[in-house]
Amino acid sequence: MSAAAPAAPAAVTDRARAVDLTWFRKRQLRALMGVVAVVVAFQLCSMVCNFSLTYALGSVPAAFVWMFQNFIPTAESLANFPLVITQTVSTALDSVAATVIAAVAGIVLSVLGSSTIGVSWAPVRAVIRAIASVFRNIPMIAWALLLLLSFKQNEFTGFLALFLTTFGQLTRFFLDTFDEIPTGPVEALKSCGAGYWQIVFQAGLPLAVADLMSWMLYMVETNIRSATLIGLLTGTGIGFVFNLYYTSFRYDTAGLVIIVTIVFVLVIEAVSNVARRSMI
Amino acid sequence: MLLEVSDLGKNYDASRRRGKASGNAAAVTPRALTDVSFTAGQGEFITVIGPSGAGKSTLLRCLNRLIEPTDGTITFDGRDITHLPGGRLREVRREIAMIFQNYNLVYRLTAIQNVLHGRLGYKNALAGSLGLYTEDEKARAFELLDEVGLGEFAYRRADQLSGGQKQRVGIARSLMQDPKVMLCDEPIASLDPKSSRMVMETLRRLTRERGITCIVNLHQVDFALGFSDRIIGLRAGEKVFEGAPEEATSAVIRRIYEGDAEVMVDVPVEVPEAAPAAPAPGAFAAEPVAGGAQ
Amino acid sequence: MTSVSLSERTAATLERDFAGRIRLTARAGRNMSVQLTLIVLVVLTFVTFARMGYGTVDLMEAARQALSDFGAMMLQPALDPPLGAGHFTWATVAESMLITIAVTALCTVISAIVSFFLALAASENLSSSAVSNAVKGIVAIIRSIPTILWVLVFTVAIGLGSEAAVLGISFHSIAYLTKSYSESFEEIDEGVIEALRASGASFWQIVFQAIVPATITKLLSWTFIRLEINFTNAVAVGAFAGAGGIGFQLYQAGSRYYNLHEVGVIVYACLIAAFVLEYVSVQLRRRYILQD
Repeated sequence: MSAAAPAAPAAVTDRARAVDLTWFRKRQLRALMGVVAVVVAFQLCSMVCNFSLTYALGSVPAAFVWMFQNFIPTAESLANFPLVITQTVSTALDSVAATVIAAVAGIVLSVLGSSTIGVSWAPVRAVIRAIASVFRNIPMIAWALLLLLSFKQNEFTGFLALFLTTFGQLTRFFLDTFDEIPTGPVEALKSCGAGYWQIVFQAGLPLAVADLMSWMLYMVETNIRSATLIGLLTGTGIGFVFNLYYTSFRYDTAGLVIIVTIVFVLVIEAVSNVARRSMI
Repeated sequence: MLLEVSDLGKNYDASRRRGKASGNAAAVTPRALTDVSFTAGQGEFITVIGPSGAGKSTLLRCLNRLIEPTDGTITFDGRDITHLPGGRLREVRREIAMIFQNYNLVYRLTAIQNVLHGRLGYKNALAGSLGLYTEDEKARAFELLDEVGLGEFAYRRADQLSGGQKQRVGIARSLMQDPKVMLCDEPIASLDPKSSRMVMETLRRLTRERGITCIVNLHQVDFALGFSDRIIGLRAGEKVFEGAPEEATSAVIRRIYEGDAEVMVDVPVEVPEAAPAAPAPGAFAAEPVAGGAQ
Repeated sequence: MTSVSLSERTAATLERDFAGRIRLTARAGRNMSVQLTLIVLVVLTFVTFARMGYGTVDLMEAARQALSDFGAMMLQPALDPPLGAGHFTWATVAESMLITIAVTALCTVISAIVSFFLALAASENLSSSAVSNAVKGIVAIIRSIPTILWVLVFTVAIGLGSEAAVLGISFHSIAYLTKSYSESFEEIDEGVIEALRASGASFWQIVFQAIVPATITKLLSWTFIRLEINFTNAVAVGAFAGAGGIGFQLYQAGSRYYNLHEVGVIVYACLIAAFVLEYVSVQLRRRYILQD
């Protein structure tokens, strides 16, 4: 890679120039091998899941034509507008609440588990990381199905499922953030005789706060999408409304749901971008 | 003596990466310090010089136990602090201030908040965590900032200050601790010559006025010669020189910085007029190297 | 009020609050956006809880039940009787997992290729600002539609099957990667491109001689991150796309057979697959990215 060359010491560059051709050929060969590997893998995967690339690509235009023909909201579907709006608002609120509650739990764990300001006993940090990893990787459907058995079909169940997956993800993001804060100020406070919690609150949190907030806002955005899926299972929010109209072939209202979702997500993204920029 | 160090040693293999968090360059070699002994009296200004990787940072960090030494003892104010447990270590640390090459300010907080961090060792966990300081403490922080010439920058965020200003905030923060000893790890390594001089002069003046002992790691030999009462030369983790600046002749300096070619290339030191320009690698290889102190 | 002896300029800087206490941040020029954002989020959370439908179940009882269910799932995973009910064989689980992984890989490859070209069009320094803004706008809209909605739309538009799943996941993945790739492209030093342009290089020469070598590590990094997200999505939509896969089996076990022990086995399978993917992605990143 040409970008790496200037960093090499003079002697190495000289040698590299001498064997430049083989070096170049090796790179080409490696790139070629990479492409072949990807093509072979693609073919294998297509066979495994019975996927036809030509059929898929060929049907995209038709699918879009179908979408634009059927998904245009009509006057009739506008009657459902209030319902769609309330459900979208409740989905958005659920994502905010799930994120906030998950952040409260996540921040405690990530402070204790981080390599910079975490507890000094390594096994505790390892356990915290393991918990975050397990919660993050248990499929959302599993959480939703599990909670449905005990909490039944209602909004709170959806919220809980959302909270549990958010908790795992947010803890991981927070851990990464705390791992990356500069260690210098932490060391400085230690040298002043500051205690553990003083270091956490006076150095750790101020140094990490902008990134932590940024991750929270990102989580709110992605949770609206995840909430749609969970809503499908728990019968709440936009996921539920979409499914209701979609399965009963009332595509105009389903289209309305999609449009409202787009507007909501874009607005939330814009607002959180403004917030993010002002926080630096 | 205020500070007595005897036979101090640090072996990174033996301590099994315990000091890893501080991440200094010396951590690469397992045997970072060997049998270093010296004493420091009240109000003394001591500089530690030596090539990079000689163990200067490790030595300083062992003194307030940011790095745990593996051998030897440190006596501070008549008290053996080598194995003090956490709570009492905090009490000792607040009397041993430290300033850093990278200033190590919390960049999102204001200069005055950073200065007040010097009081954390005196405060209980809750008040310190919430940043609740007494009016006296705040007034004193302002006075100290004023003294280092940064009074009007008190409400600036630390990341909006220049390097020299940041370092002076660092000095104010350490003075806020009411320290008996001040450890300075390459305080001017990241500064231009003008700011360097200003920082060194501030350091010298303020510690002298208060009778604070100052131990400074320096790369710049000319500054060491100009500012210190005593110079300690460190090479490959061993003390190879200790004496007044006048005794640190060019031959001595050369011997401190002499080593294998690899080290020679790395030494970015501005050799003072008295010493010859950086010798070619291997030029002094034949000369036997004196181990230990003078 | 504490008196302080300060130089005039410092004294002029010092501010006191209404009670005469010395302030630690200036009244003006303070950045309250973190606090403001937090307050808004917390208020919204309270609003959410106030208006949320909690259903008719006794929450404490349900919580206890959920905990014991969680225990059954995680501590006693089983396929065969007495705990399991023999709805699945290990072969089914393995085969479904293979399908899900295949779907994940297909989505990632397709979206990486498509996104690469879209990102070239979306980068301000490589294309015109009109094209760039148009692509970015479309991509933002595509991204705002949840993956599951894409999948549902495609199941009706082109029929149930792996094609619907792959296309549905890919759309969101393309939108994500286009944004990430184009941000990487836009970070390239303008001088490099200009120098090549000046030497008469064609657009594609610039792309493959300058842009790709300079950004390949970042592009691969984003792709591997997306690979993990795509796996999560492939599991999630499995139940609805009709492509089979582990997500479908999970749905069957949980909402048709109500057998938590079987759900447990499938969850562990997903966990293992996710860990392996994470490990592979970290290793690949280390091997092919850090070595350069």
